[in-house]
Amino acid sequence: MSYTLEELFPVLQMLTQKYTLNESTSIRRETAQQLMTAILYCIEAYEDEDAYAVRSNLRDLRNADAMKAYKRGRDLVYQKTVAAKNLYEGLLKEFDAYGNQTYYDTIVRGFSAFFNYYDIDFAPQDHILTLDYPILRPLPDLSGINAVQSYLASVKLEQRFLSRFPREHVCRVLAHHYPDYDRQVMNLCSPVLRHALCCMLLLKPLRQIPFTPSEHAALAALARGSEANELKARLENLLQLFIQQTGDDAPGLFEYLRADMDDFAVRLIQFSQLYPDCETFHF
Amino acid sequence: MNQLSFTTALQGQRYSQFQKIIACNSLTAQYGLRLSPEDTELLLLSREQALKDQNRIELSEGILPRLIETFCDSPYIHQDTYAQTLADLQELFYIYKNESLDLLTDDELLAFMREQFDGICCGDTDYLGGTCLDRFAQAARAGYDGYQATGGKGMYEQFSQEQHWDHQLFLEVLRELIQ
Repeated sequence: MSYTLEELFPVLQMLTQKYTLNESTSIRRETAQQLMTAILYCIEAYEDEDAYAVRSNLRDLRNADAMKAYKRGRDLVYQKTVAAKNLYEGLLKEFDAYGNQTYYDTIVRGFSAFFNYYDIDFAPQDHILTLDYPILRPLPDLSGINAVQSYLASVKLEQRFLSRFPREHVCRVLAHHYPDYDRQVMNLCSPVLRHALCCMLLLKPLRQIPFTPSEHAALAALARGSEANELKARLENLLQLFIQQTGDDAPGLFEYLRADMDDFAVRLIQFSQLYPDCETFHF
Repeated sequence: MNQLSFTTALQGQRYSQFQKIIACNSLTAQYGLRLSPEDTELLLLSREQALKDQNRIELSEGILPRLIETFCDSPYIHQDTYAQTLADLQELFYIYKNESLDLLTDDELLAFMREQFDGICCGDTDYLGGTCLDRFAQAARAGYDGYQATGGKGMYEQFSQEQHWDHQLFLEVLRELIQ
């Protein structure tokens, strides 16, 4: 349910008094906009919880007034922040950037600052960080702690996937396909995943790096004449098989990794169209 | 949330603000100062324009009652210029809340304004805005925070750039006149 400005006004007054410590009777218009966005962010958190409860038949839809909705929403944002911090601290214990500076800076340096500076009261909509390390699945219009939660969950899935392989293998695959991967702003999961799937397509051991000329030819032949959707579905089946074989039942892992399959399928088809002018498949 | 939305929501406060300002007459009457309903209405219009010009919003009762309370016993405020002086002071208040980057509390800014208004400005609001407030705001922006300890009082001397009358200067001029 949405609230009118008249209903939200007392909430804005309350938050403004808190912001100014009751020491100022006026604020800049931009500040008022920021505080109003903060209020709406918290109310949205409340409404998401409310909608979930209604969908789950846990209770009937209640007409909470704006102040109640805001306060409950603010509590939810706080709880999400605590949960995200716990997730982050667990992630840090075994986090491996595999030598990639952007990965390290984003996760180790960036997020430690986030939890010090995230402003639940006056700017919960601002997740502060630039999130430079690119995850496979873009954040869908999320902001604030919602964006952070989604991002950390994705990083956790990536770390889980990468830890399936010996560290040395991950570094070799990355270095083979991207010699300067330590300095590039790139996703580390994608080359490792694509290498694994190519090995499965070629029925060859994962550890074998690089591919031989005949293997490149075989990849081109496999993709030749395929439609992108058809090849993507085939790759997703392989991915599903890979996850099953590694015995990894992490919720969301398949959904996360399959986000790479669209682009992977397109690149394979492009390679098959360029072959033999282009003799090597570049991830 | 656009400007029109905020403006519409704030219009509901107008009657309450009007009443609060009229109620200040009971305090200011002892100094021979009184705002008529017409004066009050003009002051509120002046307030709205000043807030709009400075891109600020007041969500509560506003600064006018506090401004009246702070300045009503100033020797430089008289009934015939009362409303206009309040309008000028109000405008200066909003301008310098912005210019000081909101680093000053309302109390600190009001205390500074009153002290300088009665002191070197001798009731001249143009002089107040063009010198004292400008320099004070600059100092605040540059990181000066001495006003926090004094509540905005007793600090302008360190920022003053004009030579003012003081006891020694007065005696020198007197000797010259006598000779």
